[in-house]
Amino acid sequence: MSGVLPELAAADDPDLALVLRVQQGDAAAFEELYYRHQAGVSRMVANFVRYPEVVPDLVQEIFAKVYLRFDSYSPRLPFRPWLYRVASNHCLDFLRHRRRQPLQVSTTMEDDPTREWTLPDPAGERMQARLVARDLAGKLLLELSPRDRMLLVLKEINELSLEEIGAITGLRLSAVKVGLFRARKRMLEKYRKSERELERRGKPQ
Amino acid sequence: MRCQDFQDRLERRWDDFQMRAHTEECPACQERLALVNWSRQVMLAAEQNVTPPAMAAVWAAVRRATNTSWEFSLTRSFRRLAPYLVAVTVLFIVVAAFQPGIVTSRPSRYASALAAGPDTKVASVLDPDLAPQKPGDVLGIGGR
Repeated sequence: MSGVLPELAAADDPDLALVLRVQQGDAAAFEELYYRHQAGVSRMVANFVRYPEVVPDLVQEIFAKVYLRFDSYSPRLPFRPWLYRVASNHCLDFLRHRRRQPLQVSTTMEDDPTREWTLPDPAGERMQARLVARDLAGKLLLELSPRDRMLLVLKEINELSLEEIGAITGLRLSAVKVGLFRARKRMLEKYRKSERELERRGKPQ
Repeated sequence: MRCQDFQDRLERRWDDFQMRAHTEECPACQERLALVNWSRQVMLAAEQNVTPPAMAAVWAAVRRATNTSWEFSLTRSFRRLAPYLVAVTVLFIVVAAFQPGIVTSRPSRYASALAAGPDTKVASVLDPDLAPQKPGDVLGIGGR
C-alpha cells in the first residue's frame, strides 16, 4: 500500500504473536485480540457512523470479517491499522447503503419541546449547556464528509498516530496532515455558518 | 523553529517550550493552534461511548458470515454462469430453427389438411362421394 511508512514496521507489532496464532487456527488468540481492540473499534464505529443502535452489529460484523480474512492478512502492516482499515471500509459500506438522514438527537429543548431538560439545581444549567454543546458538536461532525469525519475520529477520538491514519486511509503522511487541517477548517466554517443562521433567526446561542 | 515543524509537533500532540515560543511570534501558527484546540473540544463533546458486543455475539456473527459467504459464493457462481447458459440456450434455439427435420418454414401436408377444413376421411365413411379419388390420396383431399 502506498501509505505504509517505515515507522509502521510490523516487527515490533504487539499483536503479531497473537495474529500468527490465529492464522494457525487458535480461537483463543482471536478472543484475546478482540478484547484488546474491541473498545477502540467500537469507539471509532460509534463516532464515525453515529447510529448508536447499529454499532454492536457493525462491530460484530467487522470482527467476523477480520476473522474470516486472517488468511489474507500479511504481517507487513501491523495488525491495528489493518483492523481499522477493515472497520472503516465496513462503516463506509454501511453509510453508502443506508441513505444518511440528518442527526436525530433530541438533547435540547429546541429539538424536542415536549421534553424538559432544565434541572432545578444549579448544576442543571451546566448540564443543559453540556447537552447543547454535545448536540451541536454531533451535528458539526455529521455535516462533514465521511472522509473528513474519519480523519478526525481516528485522530482525536481514537488518538492514533499520523502514520497509522495514513496506513488506514491509504494516504501519505503529508496528505493526512493536510486532510486533518482542512477537515478542521471545514468544521469551523460550518460552525460559523450555523452561528450566523442562529443570529439571523434571532435565537440565543 | 519552522512553521512546518510546529505544525508537525502540534498534530503529534507535543507541547514544549520551543512550540510556545514559536506561537508568540507567529500569528499563523497561533491561529492554527487555536483551531486544533477548538476542534479537539468539539470532538470530545461529540464523543459517543458504546459498550462493545460480547464475544459470543462475535462468534455468532462469524457463523452467520460463514453461511452467507457460502450462499454468496453459490449465487455468485450462478450469476457468473447465467450469461453462458442463456447464450447456449439461444444458440440451441437458433440452430434448431434451421434444422429442416425439427422446424421448417415449408407448410406440411398436415398443415394443408388442417387448412382444408373438416376431416374429409371421416366424412367419406358417411358419404361415398367424399371417398379418395387417387390411390395415394389418403386424406381424400386430392380433389375430384
